[in-house]
Amino acid sequence: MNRSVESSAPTPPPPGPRRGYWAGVWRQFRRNRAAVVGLACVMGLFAVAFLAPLLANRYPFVWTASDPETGRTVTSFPLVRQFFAPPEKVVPERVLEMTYNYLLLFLPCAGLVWWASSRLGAWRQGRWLLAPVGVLLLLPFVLVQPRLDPTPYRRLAAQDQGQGVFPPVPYGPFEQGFGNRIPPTWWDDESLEGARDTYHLLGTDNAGRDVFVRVIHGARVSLAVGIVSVFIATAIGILIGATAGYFGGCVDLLLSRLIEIMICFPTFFLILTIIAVMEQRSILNIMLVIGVTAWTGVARLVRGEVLKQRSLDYVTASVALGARSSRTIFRHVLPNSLAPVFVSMTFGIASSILLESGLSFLGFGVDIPTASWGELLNQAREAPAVYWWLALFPGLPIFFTVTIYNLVGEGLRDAMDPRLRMGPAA
Amino acid sequence: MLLEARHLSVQFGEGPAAARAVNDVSLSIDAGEAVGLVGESGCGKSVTGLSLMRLVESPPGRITAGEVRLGDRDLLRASDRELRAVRGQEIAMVFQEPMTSLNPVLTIGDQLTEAILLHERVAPEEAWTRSVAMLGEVGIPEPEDRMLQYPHELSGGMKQRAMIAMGLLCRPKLLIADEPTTALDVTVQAQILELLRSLRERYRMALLLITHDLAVVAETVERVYVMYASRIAEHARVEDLFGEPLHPYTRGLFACLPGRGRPGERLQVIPGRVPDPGHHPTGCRFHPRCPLAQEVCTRVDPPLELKRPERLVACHMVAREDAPADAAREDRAHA
Repeated sequence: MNRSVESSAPTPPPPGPRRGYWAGVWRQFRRNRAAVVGLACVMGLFAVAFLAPLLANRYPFVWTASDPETGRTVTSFPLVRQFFAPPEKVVPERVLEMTYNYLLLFLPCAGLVWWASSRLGAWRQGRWLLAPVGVLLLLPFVLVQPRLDPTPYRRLAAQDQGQGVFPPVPYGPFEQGFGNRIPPTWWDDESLEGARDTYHLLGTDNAGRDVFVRVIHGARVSLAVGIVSVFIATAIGILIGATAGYFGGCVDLLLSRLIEIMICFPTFFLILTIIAVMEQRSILNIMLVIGVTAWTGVARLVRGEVLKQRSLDYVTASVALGARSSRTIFRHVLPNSLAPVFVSMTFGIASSILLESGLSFLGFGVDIPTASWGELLNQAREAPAVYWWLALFPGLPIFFTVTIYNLVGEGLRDAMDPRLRMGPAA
Repeated sequence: MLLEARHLSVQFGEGPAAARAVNDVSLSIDAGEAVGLVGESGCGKSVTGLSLMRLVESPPGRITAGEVRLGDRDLLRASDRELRAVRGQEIAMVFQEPMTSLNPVLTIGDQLTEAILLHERVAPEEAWTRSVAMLGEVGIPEPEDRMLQYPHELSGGMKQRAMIAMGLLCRPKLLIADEPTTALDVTVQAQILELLRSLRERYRMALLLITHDLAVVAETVERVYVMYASRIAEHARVEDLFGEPLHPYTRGLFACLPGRGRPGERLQVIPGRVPDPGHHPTGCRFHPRCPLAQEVCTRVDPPLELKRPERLVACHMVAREDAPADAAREDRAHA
């Protein structure tokens, strides 16, 4: 093309950003202010859950003290050992803690790799870096052995026998001995004035543990139960729903009846029964039990969606190209059927969190001494008006979490509904 | 003979309420030949095309009888594994609606390379280069960029070209095109037909063109099967059919074409309507609408018979002419 033509021709409009399905959904989602606030709160909640051991812990990040024998100053990092080898005794709970801690390290690293390699325009190559980074970060969790560290760092610091940098809330989730059921320190209660030398923002519980610390650590349990159980339920639901919808006929008939039978069970009592039969109460069992009882809604949703997609030409085209059924289902039908499942997942997370709190409240939940919101609530049962801080402060986060997940779910539902979409169609 | 279907019957549903969409249909396609299957909506032509590759959705559809021979195999009795090897590699299919026949969540490149990778053990990079080349061959400009785009970013004509490219990637011996131009506007239609014609010559590929559009048939194919209410009504070479349609239904169709009458004249129609596939009339399916219908037509279903050299017609009222072609021409001259 010669220069004069180039300069005189009107410049073509720049190619717009790729407007895929999700870009349209996100644009619509952003218009719903409540949903955006909800999403921000969910992220904040996750931040709290991930950062829990760094926000509230009895161990200092850095500790300097002089060795009584040699007189030399020794620097140690007590929190690091606890971070890589959490002190939980029950195995699933320990794995959960380590998973959270691992993700706390891995996610920022992965984000950094992604950011750096896409800045260089080489994301396709850069993503291979994720594997070595992931393995490298896994090493300390395998190598560091758990060891009980009874050193009373906080008291030593108070007695000027060492200096430490403590987390914002310097109490551990299992640390006892602050006095049972002390109301929040800011609550003016002079009768207890002398008994208190530590500050407890939300008071203490029946076993003399700080409520604020346990609420922060309880976020880990609640969010994990919500997400893992919903993932289990969704996986089962997709498998059964897609099979029923795709193959139809006799298969559909049988699976649909199975779904209907499952729906007829009162879920909460079914869960109570299963847990009563189980020998070991642990968080893993709670997740599994909620997961295997909550899949029916997803299964019905996926079945209907697959039935709709199956009649479209691209599915026949995929079969006509010689793809086997499993490939057609997983590569072609399912990706087009999953949008409503995401909506139901957000609502599902909210209801599983509520379910877990309910189970813990009834004493069927996570094993002692794991912190959980429902378990704290349970402690207020005797006299909720007297021990109001034990009812209010675990109750609020449950209410808050369920609300924000529902806000996000509603926002997502509206954003995906093409009839509600305003402005230019995506 | 590349592919031959014999006495194919397909029904939807079971029992007396079942809709018999295809009834005793036989057709054959030679290697490299272009064959048309013509009929109006609901006559069973699409189902015939689908059942050749056993693609009829089942349930509710069921192929109740017949055989489809490809070489020495019967596709209706082949194992799933054999069938998968035939689909896409030996027979490919292009559908009517380019809007819905590409998967909206995958890029064009993903879908094209999949077509190769399903059948051949090649490196993904090679599949990618071959797909780009094929997109260029079906006349898509800037094929490298198109490979990265999603179906909704292409126009209808582009999508249909991409579909054709997808069908041709494994060099099939037969392409079944089910109304490939119906959803496109007229100029794009002509381009797509021209494309099919040139690709067919280049790859020496047979084509089964399923359409309701007689004009499309006239331009593209060598032989035509005319279908009416789930059966073959007439079969002839395209020039014979357009020269002298024999079956009253075909004649009616040609009479309906605009441009045959004088300007200002009303267009002709075939009276009545297409029978519902659940309730075909007894005897000849066309008799309630046929101007030549006699008493025998209401009772006896006419068999598809050789009425002229190389012409099969299913009608009691068309007389058989065994005389050689010269004699027939003489007769016409005397008359």
